Amino acid sequence: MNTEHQEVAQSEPSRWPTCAMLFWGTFGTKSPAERRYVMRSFFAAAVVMLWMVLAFSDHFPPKPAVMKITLLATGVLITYIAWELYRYLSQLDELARRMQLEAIAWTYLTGFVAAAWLGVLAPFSHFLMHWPYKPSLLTAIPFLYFLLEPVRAIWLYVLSRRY
Amino acid sequence: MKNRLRVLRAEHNLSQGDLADRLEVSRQTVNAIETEKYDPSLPLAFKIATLSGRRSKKSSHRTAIRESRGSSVTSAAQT
Repeated sequence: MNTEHQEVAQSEPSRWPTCAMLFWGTFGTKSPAERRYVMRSFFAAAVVMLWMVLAFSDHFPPKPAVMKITLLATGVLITYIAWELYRYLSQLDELARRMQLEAIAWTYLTGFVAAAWLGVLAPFSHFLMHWPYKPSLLTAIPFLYFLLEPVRAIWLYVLSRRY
Repeated sequence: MKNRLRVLRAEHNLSQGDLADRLEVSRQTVNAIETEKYDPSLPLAFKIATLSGRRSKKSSHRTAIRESRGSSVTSAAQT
């Protein structure tokens, strides 16, 4: 390799976009697929959040009909975000897709371990022991998605250190 | 896996970004392959080989099979 070639071949750092990974769970490439996923998911989540704020501030605890609509909207929202994530993943290049899928796999395991520990610790905690007998708390299950998204983002960041 | 991607890239006077654009992958992917932290898939490896003007043994083998199949179809049609 001559000097000119050596200059071109200088190894650049990988520079994974930490902020985008931790905040959005994406790679911050501003590609059409990424922009679409981020914008649409954010907009859909904002609409549901706004609905919840308006519905719950009007009357708390909300009326049963309002509660049903809210839960239905949350289910639709999460399904829509999952669909957009699927479309985004299918547009990624192979390394980025591999990292995203690996992050999802680790997030699943993290969630599973956390749930298992909650089960193990239940006999030692009054709250956990009585949790399954409070049906109203089951309505919080759809919101676990928003709890797991930061976990996925952290795993994505951890995995990016490998490459 | 050891590879000569950095050398080949330098021979073609391409930056990591240029090569990434040509291969339709991210710059980080090219970087990960160069630093031997990631092994590319077979389709990407073929793409790299095509861009660098080299053919992997498997690719030449596949072409040879395709050509031989073509010639056998032609000879069958002639008879």
